Amino acid sequence: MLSKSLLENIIDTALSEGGDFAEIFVEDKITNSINLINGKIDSANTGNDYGVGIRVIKDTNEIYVYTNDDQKDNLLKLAKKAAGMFKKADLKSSRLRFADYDNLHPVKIYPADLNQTEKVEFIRRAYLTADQYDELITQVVVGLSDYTQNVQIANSNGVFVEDERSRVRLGIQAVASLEGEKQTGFQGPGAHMGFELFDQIDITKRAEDAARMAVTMIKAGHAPQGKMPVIIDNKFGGVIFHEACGHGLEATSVAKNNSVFSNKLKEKIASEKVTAIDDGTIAHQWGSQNFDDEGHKTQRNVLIERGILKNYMIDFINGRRLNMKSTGSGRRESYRYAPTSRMTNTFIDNGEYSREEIIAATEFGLYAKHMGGGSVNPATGDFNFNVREGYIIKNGQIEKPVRGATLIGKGADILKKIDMVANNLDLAEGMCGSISGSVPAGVGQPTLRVSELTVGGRGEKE
Amino acid sequence: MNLDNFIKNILKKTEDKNFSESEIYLNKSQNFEVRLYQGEVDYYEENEEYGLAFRGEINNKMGYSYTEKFSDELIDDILTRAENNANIMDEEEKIFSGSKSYKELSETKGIYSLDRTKKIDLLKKLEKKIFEYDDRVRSINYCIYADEKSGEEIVNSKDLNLNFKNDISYIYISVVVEDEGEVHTSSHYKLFRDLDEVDPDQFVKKIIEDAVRQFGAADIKSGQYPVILRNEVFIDMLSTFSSTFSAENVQKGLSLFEGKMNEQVANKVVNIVDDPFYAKGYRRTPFDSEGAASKYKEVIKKGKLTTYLHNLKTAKKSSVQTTGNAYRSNHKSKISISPTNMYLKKGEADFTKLKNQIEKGLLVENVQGLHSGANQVSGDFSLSARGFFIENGDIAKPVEQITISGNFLKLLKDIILIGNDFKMGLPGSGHFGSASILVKNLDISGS
Ligand SMILES: [Zn+2]
Repeated sequence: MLSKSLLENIIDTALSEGGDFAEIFVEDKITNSINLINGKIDSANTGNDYGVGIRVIKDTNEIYVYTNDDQKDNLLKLAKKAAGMFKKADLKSSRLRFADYDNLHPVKIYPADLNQTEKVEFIRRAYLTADQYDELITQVVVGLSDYTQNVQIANSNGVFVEDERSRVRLGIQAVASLEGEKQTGFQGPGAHMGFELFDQIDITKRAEDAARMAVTMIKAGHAPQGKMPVIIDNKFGGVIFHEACGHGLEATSVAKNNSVFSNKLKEKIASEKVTAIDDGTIAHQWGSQNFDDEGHKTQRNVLIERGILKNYMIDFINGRRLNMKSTGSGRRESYRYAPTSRMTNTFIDNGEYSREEIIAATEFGLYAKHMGGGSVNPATGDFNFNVREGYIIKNGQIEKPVRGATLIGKGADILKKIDMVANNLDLAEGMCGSISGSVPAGVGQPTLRVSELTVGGRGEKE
Repeated sequence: MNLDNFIKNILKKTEDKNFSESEIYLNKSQNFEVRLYQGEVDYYEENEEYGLAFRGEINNKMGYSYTEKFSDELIDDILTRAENNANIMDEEEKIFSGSKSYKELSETKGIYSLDRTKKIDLLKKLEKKIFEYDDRVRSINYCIYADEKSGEEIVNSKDLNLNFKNDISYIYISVVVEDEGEVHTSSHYKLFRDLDEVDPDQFVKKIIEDAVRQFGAADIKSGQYPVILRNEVFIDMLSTFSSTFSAENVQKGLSLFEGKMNEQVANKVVNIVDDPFYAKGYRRTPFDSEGAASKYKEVIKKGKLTTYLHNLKTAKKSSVQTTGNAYRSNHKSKISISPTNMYLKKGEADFTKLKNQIEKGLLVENVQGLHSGANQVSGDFSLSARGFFIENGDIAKPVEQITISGNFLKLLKDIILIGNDFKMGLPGSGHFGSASILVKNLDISGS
């Protein structure tokens, strides 16, 4: 890590030619990953990511440079080069103020405290459970990844932050085979904490669930096609809000008028059943951290309150474009990326029904019990995502499992069509990719119903 | 940074540890990127970076570690981490002493060091022409110019010492058009190694026409239709399902090509090639990530599956020769398998001929959701799509908010005609290419 005086020196150099804001991001990260396939440890890798990113901004134009070479001469040379992109001298001298803070995500068992053999035990436990679950399970892939990332973030407004982030995640994929066909089931528990994660989650239960999903789906017929009501279950079901609306509420697309939600503040954009929140402060949640990657404290941001658009997720430079304050949403995968506005833990808040009541109130539709991933075009709001485990609902009851369903629609429409929201809010873990790289993002919601969505499947129209 | 000495020092220190053989893989890359917004450069990036990976054998097990910090005090950490990893491995892996010969391949002369203002001016010209072309252009959400240069170097205790560099430049633009509240987007990219390869008028025409032709789009009735998949669409699909050619996935029961060697897995018109020497490919290389010589091969020949893609480990298991497809995307990844430049060989049909085969069907211009809506293990896909409805060989109306679903194996069998509009896509772990194809039928979900 760099000394305070060197950080100040770099910032001053970066501003020596007319930029009006400079920032340094120093990252020192130890990563570790172990994978098991076929009951055998197939790969194990440990490494040290290290680099320094320097950003210089003038108005809303930005220069970004990074390097692995942290020698003073090289860093100053790089800062000078970045500075030179903007003409006109405007000399300032920076005084950094170190930010004290209460760590909301203290770690009990650091990734580095366990040796590889101890880590393998968690992997084997997941493997053995899933493998023995059913004779239709023909393959199990288990991956464990952990890291401890230390960052320094300093900028010409005096911000000086040092933060440490440890995350651990276990991925369990089970494959079921029958008559030449294969289907998969997945569970991927993780958290912003150390290996005490495994005192809190039940590996056996998660592994069984991944296997159960694969076995259920290999016996399932194809999903029907056409428009119908869709009930999306809680936890990872929240990926629908993340894709369909969350990305469109990031200042990255809002500020340049590239989002369907641009210029819609205070307007009703959703059914009054919908209150949506992005909260980067929840202790130990997957997408939480003390500070964002611009050194701004993370916040609890209410995005939509009973259908009314209240706020966007805003980073520094897009805050300038929008003339709004940062919401602690500036994030990046690593020093290789300039930060931009991103989600942390994004979820729809609790409603009034129970899951059972929603199912009972649905004559015919699709019940999406486990969602896969998806994507969105923020400019049009067109989204798509796939259903990993789905069921047909007939006459208020779950009838049979179906595979291969894809849900498509427009974010602005779906928000208005949410007509029932349950009271079982829960969160799950995902990785979110965008222009500043891939970052851990929490998603969540209670079970909810969308009155009509297009379902794409290979089965008959019902 | 003096990395040569650092590499020597690491290899020297392995003698004190338990490694019987060891190897350094060095990744060097340079990139330059500008993004334009309303006539101004609103993002500028220029970087040079290094990454170093170590792997070493202990009792036939391989230990991996990597670093982006290059100081001699850290050598012990690097080696200890690799040793700890070797100790938990179940699978065997070997360091390679090299192939008998390698294809002589000259490195490309790209334009990384060409005057930056020329590149920015080209981008500005494109942006200006886009707004002039049609007043329904509301905004440009991405207007990117990028140069990428990357080099790989392998040095090991079996006296192997190889290096090769590649470079490519591209322009990527995405526009938003709006007419009476109806919004559409379109994106287009062009890969090149010389600025003269970019025809600004053609680029602008392509992206705007593709965008504005979508006005008035609606879904269509669900059902099975014959479909033309535009070259860029099949490029994305080939890229997504290329993992199924990997012998590693076959051996682990994760490939739909398992047990299908020498069988007819595709229509007779289908020839899929993996060509590490292809001049326009970004994954051009005389050797793979293990140091084995690269090879040209037809993976599917006249519809028949003729080989899987191998590295040394999978080749040994199947008692065949490696096909030179060992791959690491960078210093952080372990050795796996990937195609190099893989493409569907083009056919002779021009676009009119493809359309003329269709009485009632669909032209798919764009699909979304490949990373989640396509299952590499089962081959099933269900993707959000847009394009045009074709009636009696003519484009009748724009279509959106539909999904196309099917299975990749069935799709390969249903390719009945291949166009001549071949192009290469944006490079990823492999670099893929295709022409537009006519598919007998796919499931379409609309209203
Ligand atoms: Zn996302």
